[in-house]
Amino acid sequence: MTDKRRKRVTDAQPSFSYYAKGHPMITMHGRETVYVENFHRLFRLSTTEICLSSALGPLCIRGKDLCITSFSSMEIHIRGCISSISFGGEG
Amino acid sequence: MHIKERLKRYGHVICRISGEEPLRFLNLCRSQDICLYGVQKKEDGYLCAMSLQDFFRIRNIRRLAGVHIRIIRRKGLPFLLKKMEKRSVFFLGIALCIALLGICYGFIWDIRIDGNQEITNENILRYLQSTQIKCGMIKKNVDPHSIAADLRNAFPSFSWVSVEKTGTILKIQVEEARKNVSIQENVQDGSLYADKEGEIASVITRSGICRVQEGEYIYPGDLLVSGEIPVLDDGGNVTHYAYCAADADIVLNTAYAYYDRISYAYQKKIYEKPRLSAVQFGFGEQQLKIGEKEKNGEYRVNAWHFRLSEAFILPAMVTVYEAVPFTVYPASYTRQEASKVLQEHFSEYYEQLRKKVMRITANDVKITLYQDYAVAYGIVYTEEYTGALARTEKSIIETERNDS
Repeated sequence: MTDKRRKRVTDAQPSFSYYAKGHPMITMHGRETVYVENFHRLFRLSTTEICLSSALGPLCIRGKDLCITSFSSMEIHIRGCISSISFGGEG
Repeated sequence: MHIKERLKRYGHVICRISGEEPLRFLNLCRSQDICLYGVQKKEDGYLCAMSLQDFFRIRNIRRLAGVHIRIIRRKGLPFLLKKMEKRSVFFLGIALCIALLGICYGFIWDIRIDGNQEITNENILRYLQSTQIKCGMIKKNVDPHSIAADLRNAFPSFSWVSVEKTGTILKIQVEEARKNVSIQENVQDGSLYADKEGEIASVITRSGICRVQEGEYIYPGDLLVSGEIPVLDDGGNVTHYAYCAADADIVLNTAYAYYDRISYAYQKKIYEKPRLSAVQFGFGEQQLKIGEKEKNGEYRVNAWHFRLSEAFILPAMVTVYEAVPFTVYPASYTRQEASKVLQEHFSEYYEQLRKKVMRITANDVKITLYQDYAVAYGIVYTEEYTGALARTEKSIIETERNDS
């Protein structure tokens, strides 16, 4: 196995384990876009805060002019000026 | 397919969600695999977009969450088609119009001939008509190469013919050969004879024996280049003659006398406002005339050919005949006006002559103003080609007979 391929497999391994445990997967591009997969439900939505419930507790995304670009069973795509992402807070 | 593209094609609605539990509604949508786009919080609820298919699936969820859904905007192809249904006749008209234009584009609606001087447009068009090339024929059946070849065969005086289809126009460009080039194609051999009077400026002989020199004054009918070449034996006697088609560039210094006289007193026409006399509508070869043209008097004719572009001419045209009534009054030119009129006449003559000859070298035309009339007279000096091919007068060889 080449070094490149070995690295790729090792890199991919953690995400499989997170999925299996039901942990949320958060992908952030710069500070404008964030994708969240494997969450339970949406419980708060405003232009400054979007809160989701997950296996690890509530996940809050705060910022300015927040908007859900797409909301499907697979993922939620949030766009806006993101200032923080944190676990905890009101459930 | 990209989300936006999919929404456009299959249609989507932008709606406002308000009521008891809008967030529950959003979560229920998610659980039912209904995808929402552009979810935003507004003062009076939430805004979101969903596909048309999904919109028909939210009925039960809406009841469950106790929300009100109001459609704000409908977008996409299905809604556009629905709108178009109401104006179906209008769109059908547009489609028919486009189809008609497409059909019209498949025909030739105008034949333009350019570059001919001696052979008139009517002659060329008559010939084309005899070979079934005419306005209104299908463009696909027009072969420019064969038309060019046919024209060259039918009119030997054309030294160059170009035929091209541009839009719905058949453009024919021709170039006519100079006179000293063999006009009678069937003449295999011949000599060049003068067709004008003048002094020879230069001679370049390509075939035949030149019988004139530079500076010589010639008259019409004089032999310029002979197509008869004597073949000599060792003793210098002519054994026989070889014949060829004489060919040469002979430039002649010629002069044209010019005389123009006008009286100061003349009849001046004062035109009145033109009035509509007749209108003629034409579609292809069919004509419909409304009104009658008066037989006497002057007319102004305006014709409009309907066209979409310079090259796309349609078969429809309108011709308007306007009668221009006038009254004749006696009037007289001042000396300056008379001089100006004579100058204008001479300019026209000069332009016509310039097209006819090779070059105008000089002119000494003067305007003289007399008591009752004015005269322009003088000579215009030109250079032009001469030489017309005609049959060679064959010489007879006298043979000596030694009777012993």
